[in-house]
Amino acid sequence: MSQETTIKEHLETHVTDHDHDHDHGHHDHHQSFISKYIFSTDHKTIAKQFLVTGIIWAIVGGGLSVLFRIQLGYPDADLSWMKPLLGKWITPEGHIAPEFYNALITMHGTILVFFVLTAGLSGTFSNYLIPLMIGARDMASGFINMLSYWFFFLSSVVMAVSFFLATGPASGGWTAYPPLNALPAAASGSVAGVDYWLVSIVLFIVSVLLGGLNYITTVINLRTRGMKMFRLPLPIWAFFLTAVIGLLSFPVLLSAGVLLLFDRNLGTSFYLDQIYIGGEALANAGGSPILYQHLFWFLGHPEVYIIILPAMGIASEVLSVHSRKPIFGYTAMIYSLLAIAVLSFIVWAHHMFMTGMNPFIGSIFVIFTLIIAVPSAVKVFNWLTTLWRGNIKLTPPMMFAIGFVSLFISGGVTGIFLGNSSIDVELHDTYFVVAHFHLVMGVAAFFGMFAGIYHWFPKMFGRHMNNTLSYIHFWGTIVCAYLIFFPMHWEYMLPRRYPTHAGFDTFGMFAQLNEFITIAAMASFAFQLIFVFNFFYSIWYGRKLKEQNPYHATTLEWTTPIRPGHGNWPGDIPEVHRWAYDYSKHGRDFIPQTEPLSQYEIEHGEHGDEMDSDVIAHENDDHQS
Amino acid sequence: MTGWLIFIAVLLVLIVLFQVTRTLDLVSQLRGDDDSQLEQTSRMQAIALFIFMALGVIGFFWSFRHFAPTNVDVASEHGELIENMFIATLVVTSIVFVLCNVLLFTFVLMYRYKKGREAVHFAHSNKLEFFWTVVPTIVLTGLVVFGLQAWTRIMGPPEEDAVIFEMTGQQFFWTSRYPGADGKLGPRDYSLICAENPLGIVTREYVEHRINTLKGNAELGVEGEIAALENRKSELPGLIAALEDKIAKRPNRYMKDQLQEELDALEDEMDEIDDHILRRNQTLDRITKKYTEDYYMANAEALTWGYDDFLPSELHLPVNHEAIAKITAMDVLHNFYVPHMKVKMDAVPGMPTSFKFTPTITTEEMKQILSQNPAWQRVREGDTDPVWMSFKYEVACAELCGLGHSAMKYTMVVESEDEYNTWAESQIPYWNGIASSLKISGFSKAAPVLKTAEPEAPAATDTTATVIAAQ
Repeated sequence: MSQETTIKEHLETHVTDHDHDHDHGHHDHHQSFISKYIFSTDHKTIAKQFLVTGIIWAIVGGGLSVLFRIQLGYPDADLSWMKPLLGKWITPEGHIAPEFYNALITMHGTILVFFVLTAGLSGTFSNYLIPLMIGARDMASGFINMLSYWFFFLSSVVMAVSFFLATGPASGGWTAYPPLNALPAAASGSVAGVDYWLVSIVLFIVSVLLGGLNYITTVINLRTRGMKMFRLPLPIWAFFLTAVIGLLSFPVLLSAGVLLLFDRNLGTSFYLDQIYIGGEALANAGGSPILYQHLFWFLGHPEVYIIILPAMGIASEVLSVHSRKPIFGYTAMIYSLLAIAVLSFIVWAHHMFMTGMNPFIGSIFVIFTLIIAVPSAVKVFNWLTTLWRGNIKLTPPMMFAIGFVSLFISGGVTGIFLGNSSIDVELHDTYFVVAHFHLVMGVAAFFGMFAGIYHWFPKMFGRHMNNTLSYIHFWGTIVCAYLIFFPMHWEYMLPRRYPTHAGFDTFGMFAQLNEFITIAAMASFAFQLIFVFNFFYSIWYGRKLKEQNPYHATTLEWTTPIRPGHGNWPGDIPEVHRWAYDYSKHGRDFIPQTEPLSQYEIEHGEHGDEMDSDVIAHENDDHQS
Repeated sequence: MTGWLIFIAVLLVLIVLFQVTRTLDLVSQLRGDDDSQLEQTSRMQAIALFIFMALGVIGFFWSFRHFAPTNVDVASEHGELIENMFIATLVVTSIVFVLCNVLLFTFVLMYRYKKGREAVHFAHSNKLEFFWTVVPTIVLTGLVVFGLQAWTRIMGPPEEDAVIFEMTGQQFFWTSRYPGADGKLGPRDYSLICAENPLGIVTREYVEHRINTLKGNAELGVEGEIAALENRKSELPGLIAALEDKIAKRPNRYMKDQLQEELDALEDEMDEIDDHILRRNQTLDRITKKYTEDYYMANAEALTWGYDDFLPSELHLPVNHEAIAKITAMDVLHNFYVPHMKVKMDAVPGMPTSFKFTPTITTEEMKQILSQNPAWQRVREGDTDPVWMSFKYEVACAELCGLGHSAMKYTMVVESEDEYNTWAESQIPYWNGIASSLKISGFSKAAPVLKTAEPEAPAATDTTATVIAAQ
């Protein structure tokens, strides 16, 4: 026993010495612009790179949706004024060519799902917050972290280039189902666009895997002394599980994509069978388009949780800090995250009830799909109880966190319709589905992201954002989001991905509503530009942050200097003595995680036991520099 | 010019607005006392959020009235099941939706920031958490059980006397097929698809016809697609060279561009022509290998089923009689979607699917129902009558299939059993119309087919035989 203590002491002195060396090393030499801002290995810089790239992609992806909403809302209008932008994709009658309409929806989905809500959300906040909140100097591998961003960048470039192909970008939907996306004769976007799309996605998957490995390794190994798993702030749990889900599911998309590339370019028949197209029968035999859908949704469904879990984590933190109350049911929150993470792998085929898949398999997926509503419901009730009898500061991040909860409820309940296969017969591939997933994983995830940006902006840039603009942004966004997606549920028999429904009497009654939704969508986009302006303006001209801990939060990131340097803490890494949610305890507004428990204080929760991984964490402290 | 003025005006307004917000922020900074500032802001925002929620909930209930006319009237038996499930789920989720949102915004209003108010350190409660884990579980179990009961009925086996029809999706139209008098759809093979046989129905004559049109047959004066392509291939280099020559001599820039486009098209054709030849050869190979005498002997009966199949231009179904749609696709995924029937099923190349349903309202009855519906009183452009007067059940495609996805419309008429029978009997088999234009050498080869034909084989077969014999 005494021997152990000696070793531990020895290790601790060693760590301290090492940290000192480290700091000197960095204070003494100036980094060049390139190594500091471009090929940086600092997690904070990489996080900002992800964020800015994500914002740019969000403007592009959102802009595309405005374009196709205009076509949908005004199917008879003359859109020749778009010619300078879209060129030959505007037909002589002044409409968006149906082929390009399909390309617009495809790219909108791809960009928002992968580039904005995966890379922009996870990439930003996992990178920024994991080391700062667990008390680490940086990610486990700064170099791999840098690679992760640059693979994302490469993937972005390839996707962006595909817009300029003579035959247009991929136009077969963001799910890229074969045979439409396998056969050049099936759509002009499938001539070359899909190859670019697939290459871009392959690069993107590399980025996600490199990032995910880093997040997982860092959370497991680099927690500071005393930071047990059950003392972690909830965002870290969310980021950690998100990375685990990504690591297990993205490789499957990779194989789906590579096989599709083979079918396209090498003449294989993984997804093709008995096809007659362009006046001739193809020789492909024995493949199955359904196989691709299984592979795709094996990622595709976990992907929606990859998007929403970080938003949940961020919202939990923001709700707790700004209502000056501990998050209600901390342990239940972690177990519900875990339950969602596990269940997310066994619900994928609910996207495929109507594909002709064996109905019995469908039944199994109905059961799992509706079970996943239980942990989600638990989370909602816990958020509500967190607000109950709090002292709620309605700052901009808090507004967005509250908006997140509301949107998650409103979008979540409609999942119960869709998950039930018999009701899905009616709703599959209609605007009801569009409304559902945009509310629950589109807008809600954006609200989580905005809550995070507004909350941690002062930490990231040492300045505040303009409050009034932030409130305008919030109100514009939530009002428009509900005006767009709530009435959309009424279009529950209207098929998706139609540039016009004019050919059908049954669908013709929604012209007015479609126009209304389009107006709301344009307004919503305009309000996002206010955010973009506020964001970039405040980076350079925002009011300077004067306090180290402006929100009086308990977590470690607020113990760093106002502008933390490489290595985050100038001196020793702080030691943690309690969980992250001691708000309004014993008559005190908040008790930082670094404060030791007082003599008579009992730590929160039944999970005070030391876990094996925590011992490892101690011993690995010396690797942190 | 006005465009620019508007742009500048908007820009100016934005700059003014921004300056105002900046001043507001600065003023609040100067006033100091962050806490009372925050108290005021929180009060304002909390009230605004509450009003927003109240308006939202009112809007939610109002929308049921406002959008009621856009509801689709259910016209099938299983549609009622789905409708009931939908309503039950709607009731449950509406309660959750309203309750949770009301609680959320009420808490925000009640517990908004006040200086000196102390939040309660309430970190967890096993009782509460147990309660709201168990209640959703029970409710969801109920929905799963009822949902799966409905699902099993919808997806269960069809009745024996169900009306069979087949829908084939193709970029960008549907082709329907009924089995004719024998009640059996003829087998299909995608290798046999050609202008005369658009679905690739398998009969001995169609096989021979396809072989002849691919390979050519001097006796019948058929060139053959492969030979045509080979010819084209041999003349292409000459055409390209001539065109290049022409371009070199053209001084006119505009003409040059036009010729260049033609040249590009020819070069593309040249690049792809080998593929086309290869695919036709492969098709020929598949056909000759598969359709041997042994094959004809083994499948003699099935090969007669196709003769009386008919391909109408719209679907007809008897009311209150189960129908089963056999759904296939030729090129990419499509989806057979009938909104009023609540029927939806993917059409997958290489994997036949099906969906059974029983229409319960005839087209005429539905017209009467819709004549009362305000949403169906609108008048189409260039038309004088409201749309309900020309109502027919519509079939759409519900799986993205390319640029013509929104144009894949088909129609369906539901009528009384008698009307349906009359209609079905009046339909002429597709074979009758096409047999005389098939490129086949004669009657003798078709003989084995006729020998095994059932005694009451449709008249169509006989007439065709005569037609072929006459050639």
